[in-house]
Amino acid sequence: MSHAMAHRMNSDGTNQLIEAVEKTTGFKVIVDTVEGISDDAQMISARPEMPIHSIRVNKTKLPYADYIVATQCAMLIRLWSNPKRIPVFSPNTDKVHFFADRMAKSKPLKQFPARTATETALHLAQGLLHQLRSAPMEIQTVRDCRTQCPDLLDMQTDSVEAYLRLLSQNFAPEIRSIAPDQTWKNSVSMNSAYALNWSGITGSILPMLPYQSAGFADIAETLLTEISTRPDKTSEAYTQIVDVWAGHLGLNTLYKWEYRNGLQ
Amino acid sequence: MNQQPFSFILRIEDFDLSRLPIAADALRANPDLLAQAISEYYTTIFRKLGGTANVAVTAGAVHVSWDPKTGDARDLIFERCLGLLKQGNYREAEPLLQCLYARFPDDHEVLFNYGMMLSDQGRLDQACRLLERLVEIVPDHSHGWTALGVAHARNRDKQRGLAAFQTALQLDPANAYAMRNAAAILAETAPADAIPLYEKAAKLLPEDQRTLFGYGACLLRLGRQEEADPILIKCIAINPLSDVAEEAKTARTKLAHENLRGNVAGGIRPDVVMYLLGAMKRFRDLGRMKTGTITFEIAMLGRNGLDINDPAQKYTLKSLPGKFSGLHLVSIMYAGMKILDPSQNAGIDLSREYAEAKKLFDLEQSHGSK
Repeated sequence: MSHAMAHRMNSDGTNQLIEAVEKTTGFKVIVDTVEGISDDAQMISARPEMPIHSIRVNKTKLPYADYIVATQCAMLIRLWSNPKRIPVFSPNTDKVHFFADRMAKSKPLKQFPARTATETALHLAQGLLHQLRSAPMEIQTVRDCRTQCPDLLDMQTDSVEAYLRLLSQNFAPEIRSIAPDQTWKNSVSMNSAYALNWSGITGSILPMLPYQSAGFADIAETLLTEISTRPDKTSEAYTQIVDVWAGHLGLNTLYKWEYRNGLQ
Repeated sequence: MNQQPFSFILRIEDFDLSRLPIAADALRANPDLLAQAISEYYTTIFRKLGGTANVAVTAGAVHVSWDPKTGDARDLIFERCLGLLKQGNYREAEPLLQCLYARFPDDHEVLFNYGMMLSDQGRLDQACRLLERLVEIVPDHSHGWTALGVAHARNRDKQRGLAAFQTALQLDPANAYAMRNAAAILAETAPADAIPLYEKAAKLLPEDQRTLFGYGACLLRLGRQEEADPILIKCIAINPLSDVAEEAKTARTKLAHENLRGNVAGGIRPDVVMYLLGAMKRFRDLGRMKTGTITFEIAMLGRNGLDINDPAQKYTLKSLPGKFSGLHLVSIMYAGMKILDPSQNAGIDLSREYAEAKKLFDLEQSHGSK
């Protein structure tokens, strides 16, 4: 019984990353499945009452399980590079609300009833911060898996290209018309860095085409350079990248870093 | 030998936009971007093959011409397809097969590979057409008949599927995939007839999850649970994070339930209630951290399966003294997960026993506080 817990993956690269997580952090990795979530996986890193890292792969994404687990492990390795000082991205609630209130008065949202506009703006602001927190790490882990999991190249291509399709929905007229201009530009700027990263890896300009034609080539280059110039696999490098991205995008007052000791 | 440049024309509206890493809505809204993206897509594909490629998008159609300079264009493209298919890279193989089929519609290698790919993609009518053409041209193609049977079966035409598998087996009695697929159809109505086929297929394909799951499920249907369980366990172990493994896990959970409840005619197991109550009390005293350590040690141990039907106390833990039966450990783990993370799947439903144990626990707590 209790067959819900699995461990050995098919990919050697993924298994090596799991071992690296266990060695770096001192906690075991348990891989399991989950349903009813929209993300690829749910990851809960170790804490005192749950002394394991739990990675639960979305049941609808099982064909990509090895790649999904590999990316989650690559994230853990970076975030836990110093287990006594794990960065936690913490939004400044008051400032986020202020930012959202201002956004609610912008042109596309003004057409809605005030409450709807405020709720939508807050949702968009939170989404933007989530993207700021996760996009640099996603780019880093795409690179990590490219070098450390050569047996997952095809799976990675499928997964990244599906994600690129999702990201480029921002260019669809119905999305563009309802998104406040600055929020849309900020979001697309971060997406453009992700696309440029994949263009660089694959040698194909295809992923960058919509961003180039919409004038995002320069910001893509700027944001991606901030990652390339900080190649260390450490949480410090990660938080620095988020901070400089936030500076480029004008989002740096909306969050702060807190740190927790993963060993206590 | 085909020394001419390889060329074909494809209408843009027939191009599958999901092959591009750009959202279809965004492409449809911007015709220039669409033309540029399709052109770049084919340029990239043919660039990888060497030679020179010309791609032009005009008047709603893509015109592709590829000159390999040396060698036969058909063979070069087909070899590249086979290489990609062996890697499981259907995404890149598909457009090449589509090009080949457009130029060589009666090539049996193209019909076989493209037909199977279409079948895997769920484009079943088209797959059946191509594979029927294949067995018409090459009637002794056992694997062609198998592929046709699979496409028919997926298209909910089980009778034609079974007939195709039987033809495949007449042509090649050792065709394990035809055996497995014929058995899967027979298992629905005559499971006893499917068993000999599954037995042989499992010997020929010992690492094939689908074969093992079908075999195990068929044995379960016949009430041969003791034989079924190790086969399902093996099926899961081959690739625990797969759709087939999920089906096998569900079958095993159901089996464990039937065994668990069978001893008490479907009622509540008092021994489990007591195990759960003991665990609740223990965890109350130990705190969350120790609860986590014990729970996840059991979970790790359980990865290889805990025998809940054997009452022998044959398991030990590092985090908790004593010896335990499999059912006792599963009960402790269940109680631990309820405290730590109720959304975790313990792999067995002990909710009725847990509700009883919780009542007793709360009663004891209230007496204790008085």
